[in-house]
Amino acid sequence: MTEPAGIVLKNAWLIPAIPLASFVLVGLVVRPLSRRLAGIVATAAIFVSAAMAWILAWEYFSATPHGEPTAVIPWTFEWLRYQTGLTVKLGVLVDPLSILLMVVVTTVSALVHLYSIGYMHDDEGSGRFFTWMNLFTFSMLGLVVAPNIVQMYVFWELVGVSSFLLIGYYYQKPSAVAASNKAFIVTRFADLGFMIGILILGFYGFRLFSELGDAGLQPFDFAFLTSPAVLERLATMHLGTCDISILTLSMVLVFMGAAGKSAMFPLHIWLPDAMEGPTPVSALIHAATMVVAGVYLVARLFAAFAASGTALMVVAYVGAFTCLFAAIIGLTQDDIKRVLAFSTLSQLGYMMFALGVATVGHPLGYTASMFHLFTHAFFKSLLFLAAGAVIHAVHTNNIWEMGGLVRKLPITHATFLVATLAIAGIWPLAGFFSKDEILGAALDGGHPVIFAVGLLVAGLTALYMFRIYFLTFWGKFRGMVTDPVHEVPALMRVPLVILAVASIVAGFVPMGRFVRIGEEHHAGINLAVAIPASILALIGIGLAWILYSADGRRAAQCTVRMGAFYTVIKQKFYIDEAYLFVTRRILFRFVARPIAWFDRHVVDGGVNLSGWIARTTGSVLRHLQTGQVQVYGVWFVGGALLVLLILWAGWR
Amino acid sequence: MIFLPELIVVVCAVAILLTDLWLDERRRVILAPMAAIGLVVAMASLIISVPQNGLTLGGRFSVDPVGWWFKVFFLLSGLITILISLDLLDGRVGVRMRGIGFRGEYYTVLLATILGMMVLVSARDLITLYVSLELATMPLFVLTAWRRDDAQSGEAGMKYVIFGAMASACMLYGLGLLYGLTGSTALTAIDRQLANMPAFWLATAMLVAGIGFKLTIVPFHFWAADVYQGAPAPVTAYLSVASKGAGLAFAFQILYRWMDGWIADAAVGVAVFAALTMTLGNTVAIVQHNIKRFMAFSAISQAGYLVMGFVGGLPEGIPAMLFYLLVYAVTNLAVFACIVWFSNQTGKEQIEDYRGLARTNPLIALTMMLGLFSLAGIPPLSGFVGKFFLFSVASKAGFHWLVAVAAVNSTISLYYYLRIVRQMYIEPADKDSTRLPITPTLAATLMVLSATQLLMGIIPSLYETISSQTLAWLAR
Repeated sequence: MTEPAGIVLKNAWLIPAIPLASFVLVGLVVRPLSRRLAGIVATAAIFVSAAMAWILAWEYFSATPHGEPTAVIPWTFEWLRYQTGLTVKLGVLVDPLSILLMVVVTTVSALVHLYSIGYMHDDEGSGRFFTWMNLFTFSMLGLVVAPNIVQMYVFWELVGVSSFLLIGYYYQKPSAVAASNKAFIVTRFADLGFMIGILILGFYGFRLFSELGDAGLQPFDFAFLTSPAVLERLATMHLGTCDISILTLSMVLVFMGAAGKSAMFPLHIWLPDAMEGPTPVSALIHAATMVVAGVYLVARLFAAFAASGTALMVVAYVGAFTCLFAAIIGLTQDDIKRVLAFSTLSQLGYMMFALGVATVGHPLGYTASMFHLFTHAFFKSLLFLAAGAVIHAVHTNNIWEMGGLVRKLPITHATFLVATLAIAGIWPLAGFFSKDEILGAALDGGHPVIFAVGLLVAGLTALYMFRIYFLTFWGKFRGMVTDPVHEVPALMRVPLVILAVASIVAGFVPMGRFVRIGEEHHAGINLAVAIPASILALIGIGLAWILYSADGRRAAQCTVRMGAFYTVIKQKFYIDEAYLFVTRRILFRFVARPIAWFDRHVVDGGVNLSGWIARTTGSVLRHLQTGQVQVYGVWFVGGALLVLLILWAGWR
Repeated sequence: MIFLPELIVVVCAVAILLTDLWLDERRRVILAPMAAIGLVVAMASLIISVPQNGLTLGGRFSVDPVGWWFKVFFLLSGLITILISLDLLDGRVGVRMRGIGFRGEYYTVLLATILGMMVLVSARDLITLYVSLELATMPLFVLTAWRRDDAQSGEAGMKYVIFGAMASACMLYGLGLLYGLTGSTALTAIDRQLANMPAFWLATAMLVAGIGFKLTIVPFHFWAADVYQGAPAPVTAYLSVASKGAGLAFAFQILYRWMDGWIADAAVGVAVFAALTMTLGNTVAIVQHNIKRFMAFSAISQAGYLVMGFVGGLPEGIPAMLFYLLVYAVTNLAVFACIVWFSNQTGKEQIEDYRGLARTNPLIALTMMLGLFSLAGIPPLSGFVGKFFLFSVASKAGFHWLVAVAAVNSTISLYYYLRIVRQMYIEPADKDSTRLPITPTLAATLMVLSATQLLMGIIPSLYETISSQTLAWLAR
């Protein structure tokens, strides 16, 4: 067993450090000079990072061709020391999982940066845009390489902040401001659960640390928290007389944080609104990278979730439900970016339930989930970037005001079609392979219900994706815009083509060799799964063609016939309204108002009273200061006598 | 040669005095750089020597890690004081102040007090200890009364002399009594059998009163407000920091070297004095209007936090106090640098005069705000970390009520520090107020001080170094 080594591996800290340096440089120095230069510097920095990530992957996997993958921490720095044995280090963890995420994040980020130079060309604030994009990339990389749960939490919040800043990028638009607030508040609420989970884990982990701890480990390290001995103990501990074990409790709480970030039902409500941000932001943050942080967190703590069992079941069913739920809503939305947002939700559901159906005995779902994360990053960011190109050309998000763009936007059309086929799971594109593995894992792990849901959603995915495809590109142009529609500039076409190629070939990556638990497995195509899934996908496409190819006239009739049922779906099952009802009608009226009254009348009164006491004491005491040295002398002597008295009392 | 830093300070002081004789008034500008360079060289020779143990002059002078850190503190505060005094003394000011001059003498006297303080921590003999304490104190009387034709400055000097003489006499009697009881002038741990003698209690009480005078512990603090207000602003800065450090060094010499381990029995007394000091300092500071007087009460309350390190006589107390002393030097001198600058440029020193400073000089207002917040103990500034260690000493010694009192006091202090911030940031500026100029030296000093106090709050290694070195020495 050789320890992987290499120049880039030794200096892996540079991968997050370069975006950080670039963030500072662009934010402080370059942005005031020229916003054009800001874009170029920011993009170049991410490209360097991406190149390093690929070299890192090559160095790591060529050093460990088939052996058990090892985790390496090439760089670490003691950050907080609470007491001996309770320290938190900042560090860089290199293992297959973090390498996968580093490659995905830097690659997609680099391409989106490149695309943004063109997309944000006419925007006065683009310097600010690139600054925050760099901040986001740094934060995401810091999250990915975290060797302990505290560092992950810190960067988790930083990612949330950069997401907030970018959703609210068009801060003059009230809807964008509202959306950024909504995203921040919902994810913060979820993070509260995460935080409590961390505290519980940390508390019990620290207690166990003295007997089970290993030299070189800290109580918050993933390596310690997921070691079998610790998990076994945590699973047998209980909170008071409660029936739930500490492990299950903390894992469910941690999953709450993951569900918030990855927008799982019922915390999904922020993601569709987050589309108020610029389209490249949606592509990078709200499709390919940040939203998979929740999936990544579950994968990172997979051993702990698996040891709990119950927590893993929660992951599986929440994932599966979100998968179906979002796909149904996706069928009815009119805003192209919102359809893509619901599609993201649905695909994240796939990744989640794939983790949920995996076990230590059947770890296929783990690999499948990471595989889907990998392929999805490419085709989903491509879908967003291509949608951005369409929006750029026709100045609307509404698919009913598009149409007939095949000739006018040939490259965009071609790349969008590739991505649509990939997400629909058509052989031999990337989505086919990863979805096939997920469904196979669900069947293999003995979850027929989840398997059925996954299969159904495969059909629904094809239906809603081809719905927007036909409405956007086929038929006649239904928009109001009179200026000629132009294809996007070359600078924006390059990332589209690169991502299209990636969406075609990513499926051939032997993920089972790289990211796995236990034995390496060679994924063959599971025909029992692939055939029904492909048939359903083709049915979906056919249905979409029937309903939407002729400018959607047949669909309109269907809509009318479905009536109220359709309206409920279109209103996203009124989940937002339910939240508003609970918060405004119940929380604000019955909880917040009494507290506000108490605060205003009792707490403020107390504060004012104590302020008054301090001031009055001061005014009284200042009169001791007479300015006369004789008086001071008397006090001095009195003080010395007081000391004498104390000594007499103490040492007698 | 273990007394090389002290020697450099002496040589520098004499060199300044002699050079002064040969220069005309215009050329005396070089005296300040001379003094500053002298201190930097002394600091360098100190740092090269790294904390070590050594003994010389027949056992009367010795060095160890605790003393080393005290000397770093004295040299640092002396250096900063020179950097913030030179504008005033060289006349690079907006409003000329009468009676300021005699630069050669000023720097010589300042270096003499630094020398006194440095020898004070190294003394291992009662006579040396007392003489060096006087050397550290007496020049301060002179500095306080520096503005000869200013009535307030003269009054402050006079009060300081009288009160100082009383404290000195008190201490000398205490030392004399102890000599009589032990029969030796060596500063080594004394026999605990003495604890039964009333004469010993009297001697200790007199020494504690003297320490209380230097550290401005209630009720020995009265001189501070009048003296701080009357003295020229840079001298006030020096008094509030270095003189307090000298008091702590003296207390350390007496309480840890001589009455080794006895302080543990007097924990309640220390806690009571600490609580009284911080409470009085904080509450009276609320109602002050003159900023120097205000800072005097703020400094009194800081002394109250500082002596929390003595509670229970725990070993952790010493690194906590040393660290807080360093933090306090940087922070308080940063605030004083702003005060000195403001009084140089406008001749004003009322808190209300600072209104609208954030509009005219935003960067200086920012550094002042950072300094004040650090004094109030707001994270992540270094004042927070310093207080945290002191509070944890008290809580480790079992004095939870003291921690509660200190926490309440911190809150009160935030209120009055915010009074100044409010003047600077919220109150509108006068219509005719313009941007005030700042000299490059002072600007650079301010920047370095602000950055340092920020870094000391974030980077843990400084405290860890102090802690490991002093604890190792204590466990010797």
